[in-house]
This record gives sequence, structure tokens and C-alpha cells, in this order.
Amino acid sequence: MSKNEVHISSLVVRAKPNYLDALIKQISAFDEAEVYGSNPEGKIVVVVETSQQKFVSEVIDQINAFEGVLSVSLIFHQVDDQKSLARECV
Amino acid sequence: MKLTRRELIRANAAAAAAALAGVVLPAAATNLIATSADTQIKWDKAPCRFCGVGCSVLVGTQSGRVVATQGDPESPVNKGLNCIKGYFLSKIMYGNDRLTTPLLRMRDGKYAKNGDFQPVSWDAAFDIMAQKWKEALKKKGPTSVGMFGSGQWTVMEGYAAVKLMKAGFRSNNLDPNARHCMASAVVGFMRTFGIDEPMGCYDDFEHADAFVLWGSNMAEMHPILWTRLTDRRLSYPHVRVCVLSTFEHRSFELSDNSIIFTPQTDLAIANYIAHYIIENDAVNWDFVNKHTNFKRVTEDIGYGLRDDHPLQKKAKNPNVGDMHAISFDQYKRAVSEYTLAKTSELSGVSEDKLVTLAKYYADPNTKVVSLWTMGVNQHTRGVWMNSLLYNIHLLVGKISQPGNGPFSLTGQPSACGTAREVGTFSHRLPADLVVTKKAHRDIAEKIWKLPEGTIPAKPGYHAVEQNRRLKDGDLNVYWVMCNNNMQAAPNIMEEGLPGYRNPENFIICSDPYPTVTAQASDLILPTAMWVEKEGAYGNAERRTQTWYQQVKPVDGAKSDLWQLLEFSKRFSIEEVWPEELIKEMPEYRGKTVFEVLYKNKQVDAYPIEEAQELNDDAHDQGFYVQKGLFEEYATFGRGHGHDLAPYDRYHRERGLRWPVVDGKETRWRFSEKYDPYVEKGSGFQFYGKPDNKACIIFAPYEEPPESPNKEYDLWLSTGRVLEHWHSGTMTGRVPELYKAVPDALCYINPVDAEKRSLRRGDEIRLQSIRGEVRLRVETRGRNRPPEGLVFVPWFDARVLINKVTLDATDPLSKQTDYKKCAVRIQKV
Repeated sequence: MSKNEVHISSLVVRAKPNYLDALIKQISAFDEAEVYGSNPEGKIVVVVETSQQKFVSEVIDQINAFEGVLSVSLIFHQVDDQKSLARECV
Repeated sequence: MKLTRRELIRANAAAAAAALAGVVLPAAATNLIATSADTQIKWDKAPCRFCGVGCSVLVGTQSGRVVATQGDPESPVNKGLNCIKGYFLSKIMYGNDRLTTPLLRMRDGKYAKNGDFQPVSWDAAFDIMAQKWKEALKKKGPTSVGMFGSGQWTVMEGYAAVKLMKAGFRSNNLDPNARHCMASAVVGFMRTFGIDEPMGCYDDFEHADAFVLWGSNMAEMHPILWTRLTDRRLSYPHVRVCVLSTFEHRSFELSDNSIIFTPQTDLAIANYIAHYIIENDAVNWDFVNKHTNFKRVTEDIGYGLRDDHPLQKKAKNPNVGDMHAISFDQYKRAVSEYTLAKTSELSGVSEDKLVTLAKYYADPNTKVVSLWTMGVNQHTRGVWMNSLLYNIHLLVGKISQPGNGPFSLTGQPSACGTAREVGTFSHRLPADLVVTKKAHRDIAEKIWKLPEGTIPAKPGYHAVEQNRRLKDGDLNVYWVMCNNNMQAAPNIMEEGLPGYRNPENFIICSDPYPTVTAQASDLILPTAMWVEKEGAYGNAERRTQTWYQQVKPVDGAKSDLWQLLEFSKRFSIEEVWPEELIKEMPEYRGKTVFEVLYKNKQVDAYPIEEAQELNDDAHDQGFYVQKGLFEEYATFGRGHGHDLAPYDRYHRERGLRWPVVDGKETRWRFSEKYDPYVEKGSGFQFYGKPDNKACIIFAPYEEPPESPNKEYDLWLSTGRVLEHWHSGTMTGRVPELYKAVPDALCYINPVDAEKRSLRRGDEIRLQSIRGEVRLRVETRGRNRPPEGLVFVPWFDARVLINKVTLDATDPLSKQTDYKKCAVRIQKV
């Protein structure tokens, strides 16, 4: 991975509903992950942004291992670089 | 409001996920949606490059490179989701060690078997290859050349290879790596139904009341299907999930009835269920009487080892696949031996768990789907076991209906589409035809416009046999394409490696990366992959999907299709066919193999103008070669139960499930309600069989070829993990992924570890009588074996677990059993 590479991904985490609140807290504790929303059926929308210090797959793997997680699906993934990401475009 | 590109991409990513999950995002997050102009990405669809589920992926390209991917929301398979492997799709083509030039073992400027790899031109590569090929043909004839292909080839590549090998070189020594994963499923289908591939489809996941996983770890191996199963289970509280395995894994987390059984005793468990159904008067007599016949197998058939192996000599009927008709009463008596008490004792499964399992099938009000993959197929009685599962469904008539059916899943993206449907096996031709039947050969020869007698009648060497014949020096020139068999085939120290390095042999390997197989070869050809070319794949539910080329291949790499076609130009027909054959069609005299096979006014029937501007294979040949190959191939199946739609339509669809009749796909085959091939008023017709009846085939429990003993006291089972796919050629290249699961571990029960004074992380030597590997033990983690069994995944090129595994195969399907052999472990 090149030095300035940044990966932005979104995930849907399928949780057992009774673990929802606890999992949102656990996931939010990652520097790389942000919870954007959830629903009572147990689905959590997470955006993960990583550079070479921390790998997307590591974050996914750790979320996958949390108690109450049934599956983690990747929805969107884009590779970009630090410089271009800081550009204003609207 | 000023926004950065970062915020836009993040908002886009979140919105895509939220839309799918049915999650409402706060307004602030949603009014940032970027148009594609902002991100300047060109999007197009392609099926995922990895497993057999066949998810559709939107691929985003920018400046000639893949930079983004998204689960395709329009895909009925994955409905916008991807699994973690989807993340690697934008990186698999850009590994640092991607091959960009042919490499030949050389010394003093010439090819030398023991030389070092040096770059050569494509021209020079084909020169030496053609020279070796011609020498072998001249010296020993067509059986001395062979090819090992792939369930990851595109449909067109597989089809071009079948023609080249079986008609061009007149050698049936063509087999796919799918032999290692699907062969038992194929033979099971042929014996029970007379036609290959599942009758149901993924829509079953939204209709079933019970799911039974026979050895399958879908949570890790088929994550997207697992998500659909999870959704069904959690949305409908009455739904039950039963997981059977020889060790505990991720899928057990959702399991309502968790069953750990002693290896090989699945045979007994399946027979017990049949016995339970009969004893409890749960047989669907109307269905059984109208739609089934009873048979029994020939017993004691050996283990597909070399003929001089003691176990093979000991067998009464080695490799015999004959079946005998029996009555229902005889069948009833046969399964009655598998009582609850006996089955529980043999399998180590408690009686109540067995009864619970049997009830899912026996209860007429429970719709049940059985799912399986390698646990059943990589089994020395895999063909029998496939049929035993069909037996249970047939006895209760739970088949070919939404939510009711046996479902054999696949491991590769086109194991069905390319290996099975195209027929790249040593005994097969397209659309379930076989080389052993004259009528079938006639059909192929007619479609291919070739003289009668072109295709040899004798099956070629299958995958495991190919390695044995290389070692024995019967097979001398061998082309491995699109797979990593030196890491996948069993018992490589005794068979594979001596075969490749046999001084009499010349081995060619086509791959994007320097795999273990490439390094064991003599000539390596750098190969274009996935969206660097146009292609088609067929998934596990009979869904055919196509994609367009979306980027230029890395410099120097060429597609498998280009390689096959260009190589065929190196041969005149006189060099590959005997004079008697040419006399039958003298118009072929003086032509090249390429002209006879691919410039036959069929494959070259579609002009270049119909192809996309970015389609290297078409532009290199001057005609729309993918369409021509696909359409010629499709003539085999149209009107014969394997109908494919016109090629162009697939580019507009997210795939279609064959048979596609009158423009409509078929979801449940053999059912009057859904399948146009079934006659009105018949209810069901298993039309693969002449009498339209499926076979209920009794097969007994028989011992495995090797079990733990005093010296080698543990079972070894092998398999995959979520983050890596098969031998890791593609996923192992991605540094993140490699970091997540860097080394293959030996998963072991804490009690077994303690007995050997082993602690988590200790390095061990794992040995069988065939070979050994060194690796570290894991006593926790995602796989939790029972006492007496260890599990080792096989993605790691530095832990070649196939040095240890036994090359016993199912004697009927010739598929290797990677799931059980005897080993011991010692602390290093």
C-alpha cells in the first residue's frame, strides 16, 4: 500500500438486537470507525477509514469477533490518497 | 457549505449501506450525496472474482485502474452486500509481484530443466512450448499431453480449452481444479437425477423453515448467503438452523441444533434419518410412488488410490460404480440397520440431537433446505453421501419447491458455469455430454463441424491421476492454467512435485502471480485476470453472468483465452490429426488448428463492431470472439434442458438462471409449476432420467481409508478461513489481508494441547506418514475442534498442508478427501 493511500469503506453489521447498544459503543471506540446509524432489527451502518497504520480487514475482523455480531458485510470501498481527499469540491 | 472530497466519499459510502440495511440516517449525513462527476469514477458490473456464490459487484475505474467497488444493489444474489473479500477486489490485480513477462528456465541461453527463470518474449515462450508439445505428440501420441484448467476460467476460456484439447490435440487429458471441489457433487447429481446442478436456487433462503448445514461453514465460506440465512432466522422466530460438522466453527453461533460428529459417520446419520422417516410413517407415498426408483450401490469400492496400494488391493470391488434396482422393502431393511442407538454410538452424537435433526425432514409442515460443500464432496464416499442427502429429501417429497430442497453449494466463481456446464473434465463434453458415448461425441463433432471420430472415446487422466502420470512419465507436456495445483493437490511430496520435476516433462503454468505451482514449472506465462478481460461465469444456482473488460491488463499479461488461441495457431492440422481423419474432411488440409476450431464461421461469426472498444481479446483476433464462443457453446444446451439466453442479453441482466426458455429463467427445476420442461399434469418430472424418476440410492457406512492409531493419534481436517480464498494467490497478495490472518494455524482442543504440554502460539511439527509441516497452535479462536481432531487451513504457501494429506479419492468421482487423515503433533 502506498504511503498516502486511504481506504474508505462502509459496512453493515448484523447484530443480535439485544447487543445493539453495546456494539455501537464498542465499534465507536475504534479511531477508524464511525457509526452512522442503526435500526432496531440489529443493523448498524459503519464507515471505516483507514491508512496504512491500520488495515480495513483488521477492523472488520475485530468487529466480527465481538459478541453478538452475526455478520459483517462490506457495501462500498474506495481507495484514494490523503491529498486528494482534503480537496474541497462543493 | 464547503465540503471536502473525503466527506463526500464517506457520505456516499454511508448512504449506500443505509439504503440496503433499511437504516434511516440523520439528515446531515444524507444531504451530501455526491454525483459521480464529483468522484470521476466510471462504474460497471462484474461478478465477484472469488467464491461460487456469484455476487454482482459494481466496479469503479479511474485512469485505467480499479479504485472502488460496491455491492450491486440490483443483484438478486447479494442485494448490494459484499463480504470482506469484496474489499480485495480493487487490489487483487495490483500486487507488487504481478508477472509481466513470460519466464523460462534457462542455462546458457537455452531452455534447461534445472535452469533459472529468465524473461523471454511471448514468441519465444510459444516456440519452446510448441516444440515440446509436438515432440510429445510425435513420440507418444495425444495421451502424453495434458492440461489442468479451472473453475475460475471464464466460460469462453473453458470452452476454447475443451475444443483445443479434445478436438485439436485429440486428448481427453483435460481436467479442472473443480475436480478437487465439485466432482462428487456432479456424480451424485448424475446418479440420482441424470442431470447436473441444483434444482433449487437462492430464493429458497427466504422460504425455508429449517436449514441443515452438512459440514458446511457458510458463515466463513459463503458469507453473503449466510447473511440471507441469518436474516431469515432472525426475522422469523420459528426458523431453525442445524449445523453438522467434525469441529465447531463460526456457523455454530446461529445454530439451534449443534452436531459434532466423528469423521465419516455422516453416512450413518443420513441413513438414520431415512430410517426415522420410514419408522414414523412420514414417507410421502404419493411422491415416492410417482417420481422415484430404489437402488443400492456396489459396496467395498476402495479409496481411489494407486492400484497397487494395499487398501486398493484389499477392496472387493475397487472403483465399481454399478447400482442395482431394489424394492422399497429392501431399502427399508437396509436403512433399518442405522438405529438411533447404533448411529449415536458410531457418530458420537447424542440421541436427542439426532431425533431433532430427523424431525426437520420428517415433519410435513417444515420446509427444509440442506446445504453442503466440501465436507460432503471431499469425502472418499462423497458420491454416496450426495445421494444419501437426496434420498432424505425424495422420501418426503421436499424438493424442487420454494424453501424445500437439497442444495449443493460451490466454491469457485465458475465451477458450475465453466467446469461443469462447459464440461472441462477428462470424461465430459458440454451440456452433460460424455466422451464415452458415441452419440454424444457425434453431437459435439457435428456442432464443431469436425469429422466423425475426432474426439477420443476413452476418458483422459483426472486431476489426481495427472500428477501420478507425470511422475510415472506417461504424461510429459502439461499446461496448468488459472489455478495453483501444487498448493492444492494432495500428497505433493510423493506425487505432484516429482511429477513436475521429472526430467522427461515440460510444465507450463499460466498465472498472474508467481505461485507455488508457477515456481515448480518450467515456463511461466503472465496472465490477465478478471476485469482485465471480458468474460462469463456461472454460479451455484445456475446463474450465468457476464462482464465487460474494464481496464487494460498490466503490461505484458495476456488472458487465458488469448494464450489458448494464439497457441493453436502454432499447429497445422497435419501435425495433430492422423491422415485418416483429415481424409474425411480434406478442406481442412493445410489449415491451422486455430482456423479449423475457431475460424469455422461460427466462433468468428460476430464482427468486431459488436464488441466494446475496450476488448483486447476481440481486437487481437479481429472478431467478437467471446460472443462467438459463447453462442457456439450455447447450441449444445438449447432445447436440451440447459438453455442459455442470447449472449448480449446477459450484459443487460444481473445474470439469468438456466434453462432460459422463451426469455424466462427457471428457479425450481423438475416442478411443473416452475419448469417449462416438465409436462403439464405430471406434478414433477426428473427429466434427466429416461423414465422421469429420480433414484433413491442406498449406500452403507464404510470405514475411512485412514483413521487415528497409536502412532498417528489425531484426525486432521483442512479447509478455508473467511479472509483468504483457496490457495491465497489473490488474497495473499493483499498486505492487509495477509496481516489479518498471517499464518495458517493448527486449531486444537485445549485438552489435546495440554496433554502434549503445548501452549497457544507454540510451534509444532505436524506429521503424517507422508510428510510434515511446521506451524503454530491455536487453542482459542474461531475454529474449536473436539478432542482428537485438529484443523489446518490451506491458504498459506509456507505451510503446505497438502504435504501431509492423503491422496485417497472417492473411487467414483476421483475427488480427493482433504477432510480426514491421521496425524501426530510434536512440539518443536
